[in-house]
Amino acid sequence: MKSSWNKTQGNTSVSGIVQWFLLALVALFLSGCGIQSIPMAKNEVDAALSEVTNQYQRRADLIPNLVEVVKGYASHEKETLEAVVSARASATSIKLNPGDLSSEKLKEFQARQGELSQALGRLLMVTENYPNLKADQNFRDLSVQLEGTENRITIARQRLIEQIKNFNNQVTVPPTSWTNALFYHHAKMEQWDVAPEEKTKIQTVPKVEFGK
Amino acid sequence: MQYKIHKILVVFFSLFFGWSELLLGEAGRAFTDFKVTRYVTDQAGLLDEETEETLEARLFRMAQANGPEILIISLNNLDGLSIEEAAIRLAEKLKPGDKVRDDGLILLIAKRERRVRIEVGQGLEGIIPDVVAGRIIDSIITPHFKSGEFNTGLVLATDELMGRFKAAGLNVPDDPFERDRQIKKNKSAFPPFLYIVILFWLLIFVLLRPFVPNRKFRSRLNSSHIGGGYRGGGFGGGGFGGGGGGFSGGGASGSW
Repeated sequence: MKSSWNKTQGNTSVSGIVQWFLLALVALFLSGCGIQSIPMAKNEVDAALSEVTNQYQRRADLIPNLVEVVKGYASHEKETLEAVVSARASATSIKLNPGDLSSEKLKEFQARQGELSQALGRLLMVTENYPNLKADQNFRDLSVQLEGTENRITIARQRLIEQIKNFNNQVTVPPTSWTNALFYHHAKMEQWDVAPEEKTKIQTVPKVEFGK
Repeated sequence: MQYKIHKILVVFFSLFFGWSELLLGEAGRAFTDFKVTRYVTDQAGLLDEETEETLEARLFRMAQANGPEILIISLNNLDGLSIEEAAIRLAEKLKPGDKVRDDGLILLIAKRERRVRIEVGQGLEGIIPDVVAGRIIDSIITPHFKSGEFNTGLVLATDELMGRFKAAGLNVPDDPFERDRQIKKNKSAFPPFLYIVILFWLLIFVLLRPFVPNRKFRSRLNSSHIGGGYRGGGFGGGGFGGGGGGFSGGGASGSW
């Protein structure tokens, strides 16, 4: 087949090959072989991480109000309340930036947020003992907001995990991985995982001392 | 003919590399084979037909008028998911609301688990923050559902939501029949004729106000109006609005 092609090409055979080669190259890039999709994937991860930290911050912002309302009805529960306040302070003192994904800072951030989740969980368990508190409209509103925020955190985390997975696919699976090797040299990102503290919170009911 | 081979090779290369993009694409999250083609989907059979059709008409008109898109979905059961998970999956799959404004909202009811959730799109979170959604559930939906009044509960909840949208300046069309629940169906009527009829009755209403009892009049207006409006449509051309996928998990849940 090749020889007959050459014959029909005649003296345009060289430029024919060049054209063919150029067309293939263009086709390669037009299919978006990573040139566009890799930076886009990275941007998606950054945006998703921002969203996660946003929602964690939103939760942190709700806590002072919650503590005040609970104090109004359950001022004896000093330990539990103080635990929440200090866990919050500890959690909000770490600010995550886009570059921090594969780092110790991230692990620390997750650990502290996990501790805050646990402290919050204990506080909410304690409020079960105070029916007046539970009937308080402010408290109910705050509970709704907290639930909403926890839901948002969960969803934001799921989306971040998706985006990290997508980015890692881009960077490790050919042919986009070849583009990465040629041009971008991005490392694979560590997958976001729930902090160990948070895992125990999910798996076990926090033990609360009903100090009466 | 001379260039046929390299054309084939170009196509082959494009396909190969394009195909790899497909492989890397995100797998969609399936929510069973549940199909939603209307604004009100009553799988669990909680609503009577009249209420369902009226709600459908109202939500359709609001969407047509470039207002928010509310989906009301009742499921038989959640199939093991939490109502939050179910709501977000439906939101991501159905994408109610305008692409830019993210003004979609889903009112989800699960019959077996007796759970309800209002899932609010990002564009509506200013008007329906979590607290408001929670209150609508606590004060309107739960009490009515507890006593089995699903029709009234959903209609009043929709009223409340649409009222808030309107108060916030969104495109909610004027609906003078909002409060009237007695609907008599009228199957005929072309739109232009309808408007003349409505104008005629409005005139009569204005002129004979002292003499015509409210209820009777409004139900007559209602019957001539409802018939034409949406039967030809279903929902806006080929799917819900414009792919408003912006749901970040806002809203509230409740039980009854």
